[in-house]
Amino acid sequence: MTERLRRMDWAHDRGAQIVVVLLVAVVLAAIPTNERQYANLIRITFLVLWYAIMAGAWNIIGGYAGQVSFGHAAFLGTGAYVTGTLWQTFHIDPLLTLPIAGLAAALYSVIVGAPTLRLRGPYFAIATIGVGEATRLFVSNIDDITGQVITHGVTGISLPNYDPAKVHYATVAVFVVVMITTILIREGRFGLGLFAINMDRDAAETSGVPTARLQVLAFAISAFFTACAGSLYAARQQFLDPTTMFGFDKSIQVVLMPVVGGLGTVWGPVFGALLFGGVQDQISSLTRNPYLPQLIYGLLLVLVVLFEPLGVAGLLGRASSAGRAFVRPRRETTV
Amino acid sequence: MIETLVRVVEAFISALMVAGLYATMSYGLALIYGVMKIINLANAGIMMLAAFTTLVLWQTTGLDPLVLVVVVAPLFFVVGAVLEVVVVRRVSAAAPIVSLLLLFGTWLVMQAFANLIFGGDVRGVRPAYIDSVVHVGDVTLAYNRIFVFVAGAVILVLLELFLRGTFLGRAIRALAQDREACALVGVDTKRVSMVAFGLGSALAGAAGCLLTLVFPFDPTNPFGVLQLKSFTIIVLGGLESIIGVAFASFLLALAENLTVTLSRPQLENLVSFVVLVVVLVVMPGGLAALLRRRRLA
Repeated sequence: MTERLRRMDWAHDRGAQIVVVLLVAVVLAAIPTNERQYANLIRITFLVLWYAIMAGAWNIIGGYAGQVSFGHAAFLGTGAYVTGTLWQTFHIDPLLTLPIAGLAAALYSVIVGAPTLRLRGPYFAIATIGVGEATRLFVSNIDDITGQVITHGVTGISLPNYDPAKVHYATVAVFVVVMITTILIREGRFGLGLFAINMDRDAAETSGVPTARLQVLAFAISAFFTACAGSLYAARQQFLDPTTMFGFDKSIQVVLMPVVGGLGTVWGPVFGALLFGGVQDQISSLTRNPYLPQLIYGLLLVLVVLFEPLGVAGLLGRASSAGRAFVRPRRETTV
Repeated sequence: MIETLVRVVEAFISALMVAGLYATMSYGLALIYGVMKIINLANAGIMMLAAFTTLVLWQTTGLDPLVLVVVVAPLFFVVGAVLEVVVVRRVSAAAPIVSLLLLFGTWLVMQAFANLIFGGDVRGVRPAYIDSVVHVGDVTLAYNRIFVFVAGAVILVLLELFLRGTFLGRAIRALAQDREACALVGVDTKRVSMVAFGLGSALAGAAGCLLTLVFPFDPTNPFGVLQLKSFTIIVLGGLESIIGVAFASFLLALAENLTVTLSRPQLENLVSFVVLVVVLVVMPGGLAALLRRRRLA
């Protein structure tokens, strides 16, 4: 699969990919943030980049290492709540809390991941559903249990206003960091180890890949960036509640984007985020029915899994190398 | 003191009542996993569709869900068998992540479909006896819960008779033990897989039908939570025996009820999530052994 993934990716060169990321970032950073007519563009850009950060982060553990996490909302919410609390209670600038929020979520992911990542087959995925939902219920009820005001329970936290321009630049910056990280991991030894685990954990272990350590590290990096996305959300939206930030629907979205965009590819999560952020925004404003997008994305997920395991990235790869597509094995034949 | 004791006894009995439903919905999952080594994430979707089917049939015919289960369960046997042939079979040889994502997508589609057709309102089936209770000493029992327990128990006994007494049932159990050996001795593994997936879906359908009497529901709730509870149950009880599933169902229901009685109602669901994660982590030997069998198969 690694061989195939590497071949299919439409950009192979590490340096070239980073240059593309930087060019995209420069264009996005050049959007005037103070003029009113660009407010909507800024809003959509934030949405897409926010999704892309989460999708790219999820892809490190879900796409590279093949360990599907259905509980990433736990890290998103942790990031948002750490930033929200530090900002509200200690008046620390929310953007400065990004690393703290990321480290908090990374620590949480190690505590959760060290035991659960040993599980085989689908059991890690199921355990993460449990972790995500348990975290949400815990955050919702912690005030009630301890009798102290910590998270404000289901009522949520209201936060002061923050300069949207600063959030915009910070989001672009985090996006760049996530993209470069995923590129470097994928093309390096670390990524090779993760793909080896993905293909056959026992064989990887036997050939000297420290599977446990690599998986936990990948999970922690993934959690770190997901929490950064949570922090950015807290800085932009001024309101946090457990149902939104820790909700299972957030975990679902985070899975859908990389899978539909192209599992285990560098640009797949970005395509997924574009589809999700951009298209969903348009559909929702047209129909006002939130379930139509869900129907479409559910169908897309089924079709992608059945017919094009590399998603949008796979389709693009097919188009650019039409000849090679014929010799490419069409389906995994695992024993 | 005596107050607390009565409440604990009540928790025990009410756990037993819920356990019938829990066991019905979980055993379908265990059956499908046993035969196909696939975690059916669409189980919740099938339960949900069955609940809405029951609601519609109840509204149109006026028949009680306890009667309708005879129609709904076979209907979802067909749904499950079709799902297996059209979708699941294509990925049965691929890595676990593929079938997981596929059935997850199926669940999303079912949920969105129900939301578009039926809307997001909370529904429930309320026959005449819904508010009636019976007193046994100091303990109060609701009729609907007793009926659901009995129905669940009957279904599981019938299933057990089928699995032990018929050729097809024995073929399903044999397939769960060793797929290759089955193929060698001439079992039609494809057909048996289809039947197993259909049976698992029929059980989920029966559970969805019965739960309309006990829980208010909408396209999302409480099915997602119930899905997790069935994971907890099959992980706790093992995937092999109906006794294990029944016992785990009772244990989980008891833990939940005691949480509600002795602590806080909001924490009811937290219990099953925590139990799920803890059991998965603490008993990896049992699970690893199960999955090692998959690798050899």
